[in-house]
Amino acid sequence: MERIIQQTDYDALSCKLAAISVGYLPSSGLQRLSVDLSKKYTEWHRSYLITLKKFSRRAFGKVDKAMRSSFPVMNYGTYLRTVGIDAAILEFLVANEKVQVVNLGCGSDLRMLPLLQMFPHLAYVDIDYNESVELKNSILRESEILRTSLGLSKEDTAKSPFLIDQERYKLAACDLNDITETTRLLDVCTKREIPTIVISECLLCYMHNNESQLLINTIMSKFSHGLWISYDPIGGSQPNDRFGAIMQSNLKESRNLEMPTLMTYNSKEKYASRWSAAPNVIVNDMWEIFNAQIPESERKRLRSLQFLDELEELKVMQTHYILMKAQW
Amino acid sequence: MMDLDKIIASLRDGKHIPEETVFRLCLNSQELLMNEGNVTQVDTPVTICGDIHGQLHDLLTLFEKSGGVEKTRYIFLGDFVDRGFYSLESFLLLLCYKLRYPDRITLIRGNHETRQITKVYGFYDEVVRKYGNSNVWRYCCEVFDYLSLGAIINNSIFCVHGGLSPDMTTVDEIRTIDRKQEVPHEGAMCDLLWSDPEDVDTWSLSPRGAGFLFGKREVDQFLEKNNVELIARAHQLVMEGYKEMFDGGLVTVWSAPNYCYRCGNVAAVLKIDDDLNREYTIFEAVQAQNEVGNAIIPTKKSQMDYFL
Ligand SMILES: C[S@@+](CC[C@H](N)C(=O)[O-])C[C@H]1O[C@@H](n2cnc3c(N)ncnc32)[C@H](O)[C@@H]1O
Repeated sequence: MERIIQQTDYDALSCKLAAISVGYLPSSGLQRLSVDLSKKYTEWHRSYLITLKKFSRRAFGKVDKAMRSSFPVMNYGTYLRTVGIDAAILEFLVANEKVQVVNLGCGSDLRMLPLLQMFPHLAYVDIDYNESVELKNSILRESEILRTSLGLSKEDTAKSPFLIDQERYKLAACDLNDITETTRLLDVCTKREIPTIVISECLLCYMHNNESQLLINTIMSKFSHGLWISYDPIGGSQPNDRFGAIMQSNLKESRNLEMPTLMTYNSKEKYASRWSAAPNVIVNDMWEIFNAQIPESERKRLRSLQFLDELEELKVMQTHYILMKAQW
Repeated sequence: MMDLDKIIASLRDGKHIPEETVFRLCLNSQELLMNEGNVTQVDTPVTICGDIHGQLHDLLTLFEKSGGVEKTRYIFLGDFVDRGFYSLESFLLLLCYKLRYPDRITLIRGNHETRQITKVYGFYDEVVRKYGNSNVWRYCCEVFDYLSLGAIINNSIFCVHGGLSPDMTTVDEIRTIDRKQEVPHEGAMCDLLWSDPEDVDTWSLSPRGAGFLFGKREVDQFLEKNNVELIARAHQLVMEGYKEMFDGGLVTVWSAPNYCYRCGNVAAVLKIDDDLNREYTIFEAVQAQNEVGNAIIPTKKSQMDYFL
């Protein structure tokens, strides 16, 4: 099961690479990237893919193929997911001088690269299963432009559980189902008083209810001020909504993947109820975000990239993914 | 002469059709379609069907639930290909029926029946996967260029894939389009295949990047000017299978149940009888597996259909 869950990172990566290759990402406006960083954003991702080939031809083949056959409806969704989370991160970073980011289930996500360059007082921790961070570590150290962007050496000198242990960027192995291990890790690499952004982008959906709730509670009580940003699918709560049930059976049949709480937290409200300890919780589905937060100039840009063949399908899908922001 | 019944039987079973056979089917279809006008005249009773999108097994259900081509007249509103796993078989099956029963089936071009769109949305890749080259895709695209742009039932119901165009407000004008080409990015031919009805006061830009949005005013004007009572179109997923708008002056019919194997919608077809009464038939998607547990629909697809 763990392996199957780890492999979902290749899906997230393929989707992102597809959105980049067609031009949906980066969004220099919404991601607040300079001309130089926009260019690097694309180069970093390209280099990640090319370097992946050196370490796993199979994974590369899979990602490369999926990337090439991504439909516009998927590119839109990846775009929304990425800029939605980035906008929330940026808002907090701009409002607070010194911030630490904890990215739970980071997978191959590279958003630390532009952020570390844009915000000199930012410290950033990436956490995932050992297998996942090992691959990420190898790629970050092997690719020249990734290595130089982080100021890494080619040799690996960090001590377990860290694979990268810099002043401002750490990459750490941890099973987030194990709350003792997680607490111990956060004790050594984060500080209680520093305003903290916690990211869980398609992580909680793979965890069981008890484990995910314990993770949320533990982390929220660990930091005095924080913003938790979470992106996940929801099963849908309308009486004749079959999206969640079909999704569960498709994922089960095609790859034996399970999303244990998809139908438990099947609405925005139920999903957000897990952060009820936070005084300020905002939750939107991605269709709302598309309609309310993406300016017309951006939509026009997206329309010029590919014809979107079916708007209703986009709506059906995006109403089943949510972005939750809990501030405490 | 080709043995159409034999090809039909193979297609219904999802069997591989030799390239040479596809070539001849496409050539014969072109000859037949060439003589049709841009807007075909059709008599009642007739069953109007919306998007199919390569969902062959659901297309078979559609025929089963609505009488079958041996007994019933059909209009298909386009989007035969792309997205589903059996675009080729679905399209060829419809072509075979067209050749076998020419006046019982009318095929209208959808926005997916173009070279550019099929390269993005799956039909091209499907052909390359099934044949190792793109020849069959090219033959089919040649046929796409000859498909008509609309149909008119008993001079009273106008059928089109997408909707109306601000450039052409009468059926007679539509008849003058030189349709035998790849669908352009703008202009009347593009709009007919891409536009959508919406609660708008006047013509507006479409969020799809092609065609227009049009409202009740545009529909009322079109109905009056052309002396018809209904516009029947497809093009938009409707979770309930069909949707009437503008006091019944326009209907959207959608015939791909559980679209893309994940949307959870039902499908519909619309039967028009001799008194122009409308009767909708709703149907559901076939099960992914048959009674003995064998996959009917290949679910082991590596496509990233969900955000994981
Ligand atoms: C779908 S990927 C998302 C990756 C990244 N957050 C993104 O959105 O691009 C899910 C990631 O969560 C990680 N993950 C899932 N359960 C985990 C756990 N219990 N401990 C650590 N990592 C976990 C997986 O290994 C995988 O890399």
